[in-house]
Amino acid sequence: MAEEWLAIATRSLVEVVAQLPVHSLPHQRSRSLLGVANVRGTLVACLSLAELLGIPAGTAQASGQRVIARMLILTGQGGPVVVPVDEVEGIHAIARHTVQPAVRDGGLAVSQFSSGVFQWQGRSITQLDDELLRQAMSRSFA
Amino acid sequence: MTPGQMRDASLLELYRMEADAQAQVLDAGLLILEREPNHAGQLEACMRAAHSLKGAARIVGLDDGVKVAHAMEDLLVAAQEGLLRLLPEQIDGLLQGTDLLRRVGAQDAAYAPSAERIEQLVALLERQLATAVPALGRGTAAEPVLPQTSLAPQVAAQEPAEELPDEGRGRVLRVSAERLDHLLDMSGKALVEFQRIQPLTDSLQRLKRQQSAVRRALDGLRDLTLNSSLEPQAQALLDESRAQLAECQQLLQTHFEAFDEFAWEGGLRSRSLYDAALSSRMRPLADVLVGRARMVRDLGRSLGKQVRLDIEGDATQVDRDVLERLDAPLTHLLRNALDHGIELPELRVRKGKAEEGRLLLRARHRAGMLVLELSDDGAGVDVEHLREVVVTRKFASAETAARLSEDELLAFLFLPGFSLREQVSEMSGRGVGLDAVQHALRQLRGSVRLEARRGEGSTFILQVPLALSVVRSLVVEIAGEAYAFPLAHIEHMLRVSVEDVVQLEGRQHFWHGDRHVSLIAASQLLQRPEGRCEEAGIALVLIRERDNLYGIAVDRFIGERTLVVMPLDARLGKVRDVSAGALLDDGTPVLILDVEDLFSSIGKLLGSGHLERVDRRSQGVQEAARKRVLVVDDSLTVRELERKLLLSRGYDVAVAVDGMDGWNALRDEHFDLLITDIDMPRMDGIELVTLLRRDSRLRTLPVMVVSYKDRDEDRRRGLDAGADYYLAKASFHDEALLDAVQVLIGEAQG
Repeated sequence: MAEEWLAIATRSLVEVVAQLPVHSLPHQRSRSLLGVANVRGTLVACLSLAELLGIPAGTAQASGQRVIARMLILTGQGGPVVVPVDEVEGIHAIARHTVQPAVRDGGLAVSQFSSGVFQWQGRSITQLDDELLRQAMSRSFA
Repeated sequence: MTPGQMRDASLLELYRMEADAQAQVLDAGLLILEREPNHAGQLEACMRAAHSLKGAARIVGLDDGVKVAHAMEDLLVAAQEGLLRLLPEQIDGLLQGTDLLRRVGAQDAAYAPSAERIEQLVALLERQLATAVPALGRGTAAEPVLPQTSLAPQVAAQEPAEELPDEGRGRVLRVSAERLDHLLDMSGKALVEFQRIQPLTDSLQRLKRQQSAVRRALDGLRDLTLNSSLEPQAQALLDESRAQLAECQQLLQTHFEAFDEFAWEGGLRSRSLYDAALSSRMRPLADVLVGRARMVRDLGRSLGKQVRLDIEGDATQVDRDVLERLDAPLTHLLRNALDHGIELPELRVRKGKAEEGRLLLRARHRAGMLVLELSDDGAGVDVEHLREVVVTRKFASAETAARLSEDELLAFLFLPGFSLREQVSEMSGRGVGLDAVQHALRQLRGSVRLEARRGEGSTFILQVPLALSVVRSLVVEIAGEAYAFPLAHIEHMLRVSVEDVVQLEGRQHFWHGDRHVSLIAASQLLQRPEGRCEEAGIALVLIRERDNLYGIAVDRFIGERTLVVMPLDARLGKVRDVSAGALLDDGTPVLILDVEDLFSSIGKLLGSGHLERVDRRSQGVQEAARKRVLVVDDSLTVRELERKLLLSRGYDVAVAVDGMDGWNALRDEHFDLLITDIDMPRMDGIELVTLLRRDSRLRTLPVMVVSYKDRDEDRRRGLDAGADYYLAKASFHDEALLDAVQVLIGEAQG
């Protein structure tokens, strides 16, 4: 996601899918609500994680490597939610003790959602708190 | 709940089911008996029904039910034996008894009939029996000694399954609606999913062609090298690649054939799966007609009219959702016909009609729609009189009214509040509530119209889709995305050239035939960015709200499609102007527009006066270069003053009345500068600026604060929140504002 690497617990992940066309909704109420997308024949709400976390979107791909944008299907309150992401690294088991508690210093909005930070393959990765994220997602429907 | 109670509860449930079924038999039978009191078959059927209910009531311990059923049975047995003739009074009593039997098992005690009511009716029935058959009367009332009575419990226990009135229509199973919906949903998806195979087939075809092209190229190469001496190694490589390619082609061909067959079979199967699932939701129209004949008769009697309802095509299959929603309008129309259509018996006789009025309900399928015709042989509508009322009520001028055709005149009856009430007693109130009927049918994506002949009766013709889950729609592109208009709501679709559009009172119109049509840009209506229209002319969808025609300008027409309706995510709530979603053949989502909603959106838009032009290409050129400023202030004076000042310098200006309004505008449109007040309702200026600075896109937008507060701390608060410039209204004068604007964003142009 942009320059940031984020981690999300697999318990809130349903599926990783290829990019889907998203149909926006008329009279858009919040910037984080992108619209609806067709996930296996159902229309699922699509949210912008970047907007939700306050990360400037779409500035990645500096490395020149082949980056494949994906969509994550996450569990939200009352049903699944689709969020587009710039790239998915994979699913890895992270030992709990390597995760440092997050400093919620209030700088970026993303830090409001982090439950911890850990080092992995030379990258500093922010772990998202799934409960906080779920709440934020529900809010953006209102 | 103790096991005993549980047993009682489930027994009661059984009783209710049986009571419903048997009561239907009784209702139907008694109505026939009223016309043909000696109909042996119906007498037998009614007697058996009453008898079964007596047994059932006894099992579950409903003594009231036993009493009523018993009294009814006695009366019917007496009639069967020819001891008495069933007169309308007796039929009334029996029908009331049927109602009581339905209600004695009610879950809600408040709904169950009172003991006095039971006694009253039982007494009434016994009295009727006693007057008709004095000898038998006392005897049976005291000691019920019919030979079957002792057998009753066993008989009743076995009967429910066999006695359901559905025998002729096949066995009926109870399946939860939710499960059925899920089945339909899944099969719909399977169908859509299979349609996505088509692009894959196409690309396989392309691959095949490409292979053939490579083959030809290699063949050419071989021909060229045939006579020249090629290095043996190169020759070997060439042969090798030709052989490999041939094999590839062979393999692809086999796979392609297998795939094609699979796709075809699969498509066929998912189609029939979907059809089967759809048809399992279908119920015969008879379901919604249960009790209608009875209602007509009772209501007729209460009005002193003799009326009978005949039904043709009650086995016609309709989606159960549609059926449910047909219930209310149908009841309404039946009452209407009874009340205002059918004349009193004396009048009918004088007119040379049969004493008994007749309502005929005919149902049939036509072109994927259910057509219901409800006709009465009553008074009909006096069209000339209607014409006068239209004029006196000022719905149309005398000249216009004179030109209106009969159909057009009858359409007035569907207008809200339109009634002939005070004018004629004979058909008083015709039209009241007809607008509700029309509304209900529109909601079903159907229509209703009236045909009437004076003195000969009138016919309401209802048309509804067979199912709500599938909708024929016109798919269009708005702001680069697909939207669908249900065909039932479209008046017309057409393309007009820019020259045909005329400007009238700041709105765009064009003439369609002899009617003028207001034009509205769909993108503005839905608050979406403007789309690109590539084709010549403006693509328009005409929709009609009563007398008004609106032309909705869309980017382009995609085509007519059959869409499987799927609800949007429930968490989204009701999305304005959208009724549901659906998927196109290629799996892309499409939103189905809610036309009723659109009308209110159009109303709002026209009221606001901010109508955009639909042919924006012509004007876009000079607009682009001008800088846009958003002025947010709750004071009209300040807003207007600032707006005029900025306009005079050539800036493009938009206004908003408070922070919330401003924030919405900022998110939707592009601006080069924001000028805002601090003290405002809903969202104040500080909040607005803070929000702005948190937003990734708007973070860098220059902001100027104009406020009455000019203390240092106010100034600091504004600047801390992220304002670039703070101007106190005390020191406000034209030049100060304009200078500051120029410092922040430069001249209006460039």
